Amino acid sequence: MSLLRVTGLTRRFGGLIAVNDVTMAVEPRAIHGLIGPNGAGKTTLFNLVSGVLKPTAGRVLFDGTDITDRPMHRLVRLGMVRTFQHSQLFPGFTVLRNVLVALHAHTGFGLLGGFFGSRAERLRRDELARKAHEIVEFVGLADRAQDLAGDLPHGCQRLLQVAVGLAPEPRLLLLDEPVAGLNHGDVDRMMELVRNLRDRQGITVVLVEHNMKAVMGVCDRISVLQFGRLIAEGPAQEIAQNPTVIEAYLGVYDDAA
Amino acid sequence: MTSRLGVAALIVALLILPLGVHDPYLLHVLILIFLNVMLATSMWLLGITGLISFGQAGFMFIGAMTSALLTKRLGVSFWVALPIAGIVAAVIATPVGRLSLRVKGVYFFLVTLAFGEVVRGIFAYFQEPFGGWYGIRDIPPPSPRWLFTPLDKLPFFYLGLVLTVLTCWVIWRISRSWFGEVLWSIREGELLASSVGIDVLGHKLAAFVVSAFVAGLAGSFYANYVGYISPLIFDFQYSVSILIFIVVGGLTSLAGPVVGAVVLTIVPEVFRASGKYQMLIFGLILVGSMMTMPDGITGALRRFGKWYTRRAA
Repeated sequence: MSLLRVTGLTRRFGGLIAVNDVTMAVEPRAIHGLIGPNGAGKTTLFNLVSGVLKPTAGRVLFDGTDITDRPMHRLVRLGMVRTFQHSQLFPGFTVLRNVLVALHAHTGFGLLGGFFGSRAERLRRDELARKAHEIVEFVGLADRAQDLAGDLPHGCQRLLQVAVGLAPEPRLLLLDEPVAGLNHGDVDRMMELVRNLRDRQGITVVLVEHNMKAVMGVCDRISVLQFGRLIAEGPAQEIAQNPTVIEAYLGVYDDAA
Repeated sequence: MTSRLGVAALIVALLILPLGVHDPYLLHVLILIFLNVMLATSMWLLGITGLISFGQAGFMFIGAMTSALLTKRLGVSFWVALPIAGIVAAVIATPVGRLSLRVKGVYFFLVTLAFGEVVRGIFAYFQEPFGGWYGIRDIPPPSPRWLFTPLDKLPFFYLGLVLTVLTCWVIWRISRSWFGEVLWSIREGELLASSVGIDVLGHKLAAFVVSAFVAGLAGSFYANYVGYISPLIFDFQYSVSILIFIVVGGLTSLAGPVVGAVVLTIVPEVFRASGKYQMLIFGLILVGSMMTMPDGITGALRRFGKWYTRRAA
């Protein structure tokens, strides 16, 4: 069964149809790419799936549960986490504290948790700190753990975003342009990390990306959006040869002109 | 550790201070400081999430009114009325927060500002039971009567001290708990916070309700200390001055609102002798402190401390 299924998803902004009747499915343990020219509706689709926006029509099913209209923070418990196109971090916190907040937001602690600073509470704090360290190490930021997130170079900030997204132990991770603005070395590092997410942690990944080389290198399946419509879907090699896709990206050569 | 010792020393100093000071005016100023510290710390808790409310005087008024009606009209003891005043303020804060927290930034200011004025308006409009514009006079002091007499400010001083220390302790613990950690993270990045499963609206609401509870307690203490409340006291200007305490003191730690409330309660009193120039001087000091210390007095002190240790090393 598909982990994520989207049927007839539509979103209008006034006269503009940003996402138009999109139906697609993401299989478990896949790395699924979502590509398309600027303004194709990729991020809007992400926002609809992750509960940031409400769809005008259509349904979203996660692991068989209907999650249409559910607010974002309630999807985390089900096992779905998303990251954002523009680095969203807690800039005034250290790298470790960024992950720590995400960790205990997810483990649940109650209104009075840690109020009295009891022994049990301290043990729990240590336990979470250890987990946070593991995650920071996994994304390769161990030597930066005590730096302020806002002071990190862009590449490290993108890695930290993935680390924060990993803290709630998602089954499905939605990455919105994880390599946007990164240099070659950092792109490779990020793609290596995405591959590791699936291979070592069994996490299903959906990623929106502009960087074709990165997408083709890492994705099993790719869906292509144009003007809010799904125009192609299939394995990476097939999509790279698909004339409709090439046309969408490069335009048609017009002989008459 | 040193800051913990400092806090202990401060509390001890305040405990023994009245042994040397009998001047009722000075004690009155200290009690006013206690009230302002309670209100400033309550607002600071909300400020952790990045929100600033202009409705704090409204919640204080609700607490004061609850306490005044209970103790004067129904003969309830102050000690019972005090927690009830806090609870009533918190109960009213729940729907108010639910509505006002839906809007962001400057619109939140406006809704809370409107709320404060609505509270005042309602209390001013209904002569019965709220006393209208004349307010309520002769609110009985706490029991026992032989201790809390209108002539002696000392028992009120200690009552204020206990309430203030308790408030500060509770709010300090909250700010260091998981709940507080979440509030800080909401200020840092609201979207990210909700993307990792934090119920941003729920946490803001909880902070709003707790802060209203504390304001209600302070209102109750005010009513039964001064013995008189009216819509002219808990006005918009009062909410603004609470905001100024935090901004001048600094937002980064609990010391900020405390220092701000202390300094800005004392400063106008110092210049009281200058008569009509009092507020002019106060205004100049405010502008000067904003220009020289944009992160508040506590922020400036911290920077000075860092600079000093670096120079010494």
